[in-house]
Amino acid sequence: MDYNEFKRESERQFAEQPQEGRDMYKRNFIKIPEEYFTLNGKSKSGQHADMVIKALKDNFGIYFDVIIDGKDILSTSRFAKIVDMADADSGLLKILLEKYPNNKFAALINSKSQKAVVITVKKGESAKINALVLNGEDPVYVQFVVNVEDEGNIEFFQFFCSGVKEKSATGIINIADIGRNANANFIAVHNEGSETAVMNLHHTEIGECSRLSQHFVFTGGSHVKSMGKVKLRGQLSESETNEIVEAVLDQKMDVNTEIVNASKGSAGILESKAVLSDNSVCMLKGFATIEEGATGSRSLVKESSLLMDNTARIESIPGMAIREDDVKATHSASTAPIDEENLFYLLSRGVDRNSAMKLMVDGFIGGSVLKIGDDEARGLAASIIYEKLKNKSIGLTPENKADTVYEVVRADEKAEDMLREHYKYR
Amino acid sequence: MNGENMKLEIRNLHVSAEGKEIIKGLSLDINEGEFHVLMGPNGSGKTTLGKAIMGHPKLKITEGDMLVDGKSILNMKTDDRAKLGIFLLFQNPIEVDGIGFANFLHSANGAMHGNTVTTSDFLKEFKETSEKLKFSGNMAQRSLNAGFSGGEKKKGEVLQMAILKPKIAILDEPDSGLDVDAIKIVAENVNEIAKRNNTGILLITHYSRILNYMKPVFTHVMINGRIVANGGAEIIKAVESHGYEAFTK
Repeated sequence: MDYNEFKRESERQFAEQPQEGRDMYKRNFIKIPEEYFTLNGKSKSGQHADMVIKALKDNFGIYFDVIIDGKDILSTSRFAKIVDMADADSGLLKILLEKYPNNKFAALINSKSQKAVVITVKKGESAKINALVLNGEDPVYVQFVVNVEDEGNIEFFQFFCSGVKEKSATGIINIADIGRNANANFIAVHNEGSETAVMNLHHTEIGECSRLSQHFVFTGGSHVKSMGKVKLRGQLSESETNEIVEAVLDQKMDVNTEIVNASKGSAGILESKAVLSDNSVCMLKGFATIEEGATGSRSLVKESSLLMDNTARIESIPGMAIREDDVKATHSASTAPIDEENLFYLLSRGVDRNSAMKLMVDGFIGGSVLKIGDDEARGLAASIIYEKLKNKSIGLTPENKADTVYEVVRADEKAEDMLREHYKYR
Repeated sequence: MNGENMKLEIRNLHVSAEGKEIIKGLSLDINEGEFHVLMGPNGSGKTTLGKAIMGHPKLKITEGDMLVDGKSILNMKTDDRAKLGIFLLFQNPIEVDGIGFANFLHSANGAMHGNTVTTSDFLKEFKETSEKLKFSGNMAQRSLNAGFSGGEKKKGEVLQMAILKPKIAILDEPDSGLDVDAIKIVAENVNEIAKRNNTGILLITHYSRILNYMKPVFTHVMINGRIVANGGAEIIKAVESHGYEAFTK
């Protein structure tokens, strides 16, 4: 195949299926076994919702406005309405299906989800919404539609968890539309059970002069398939996406996110970090597209991974499609094992091997954790990462209070200055 | 330790790295509170000795023993050796980006001394020692050795020694890469820390310049994996006058 033919074929694939159609992705992907698509569990959630809610409130100070427990769904927020999919106007269904043509996960979630959560932040309003999604043996399929009107602000935190040890599934679609001069901060922490398949689709479009900050933490699930897109639709719009993957014990994670600069002066950052061990596999597939006419735009795709042992496998595939000349675009990928010399240095100071490994992981992903703007969500994410590192536990809600794991040292005013933004492990 | 001074005994130590013997039968005793200097040319095995005492995983002890208060430490893990009170000041400290210097040292201090030191006391000592070492800027907010200059790295090692309060400290070329002023600062701080904590010191060095500010009692010369001369200040003078060649004959 000569270059022109190759280019035409790539363009054709891209036009047909912007992400999954690419050859590299066809060779490197996690397949969710068919059995997960036809599950018929009997139990409700694996963990009693009341207990989880109380633990998160007591230990992390998190109060939930939207609670999805199996098929039960509840909202106490004036911003979030529960919409029956059967009664939903055709516009909603049309949006969802249009965003994901030919996507079997979208089709599955669309066919299985009976309700959607529609969040609307009107012009100039500010909303903070925490959502809890608990799955049991019975899979949970849910869709969130977020509309932030001009000059609106939203902080939206989603926590997915389950104590169920049987095969189950979580399917989630997040569609968000951010208006002009608006701010959005999205955080999703996935800590599903060890036998749960996770299908995560997200699509966000950002209007003029607006900013999106989004953070994904993937620690749970047996198979994780995340497909996302951020479209910088408006001029001077900005997005920063941080993805943290922590995989152990044969977990398989496939995280595919695309950032599209579609307007002048837009800026998109995608940073993905993975910490892997114990036969786990991860595919990081960050992709940046700069569309024709998006002059003066900037794009960065950065993937890095830390292999804790020689049984884990990473496929890091950053990519870019640039159709405009006057842009700045960079992509990078790096993978490193735990450095024995670094480890020796830490051990020589009396820190035991487990603590030294934790320190090194903290050094590797700590910066990304600190970027999570919401204090409570950050505390929870940090605790889950720490507990998993310590016990290789998957899907359990941490019992420790956040400050027994990470603690901002505040001895006095001067001390606070000295250690600002620094966390330590106990 | 029963309140008695700690004693490190090295008995006929043979150490190999990647199949090559580097230390070829070395014996040395260091007591808490004593000040030894180990001099020798490049490649004589001085750094390997320091790492072997600390239990570097790539070094193989093929013969001999190392004992602390009469008990072999050969099968002890590196962190357990540190907890006994052995400290290695690295010639080339590793840069670990992302781990805060103060946070790491706080964790290490907790591992070494339990929760007997409050965070407030720790930070006070950290700040005071940083000032004595004439660190510029805020050390606490920087990553562990990452982006440090050569001098800052050495001072950072001395700062760790001051906080962790070892019983025996092996100082692997704390003077290399330092200008005259920095050598003086490092030497004076080590002297003060050792005096305050009754620390036994094994100072490893090529040059005698740092010895203008430090006064070891015991001097050893190491060449080709063996100690070839033991003595006092006269040995240092001999090295200054004739170099190491005088000891190879």
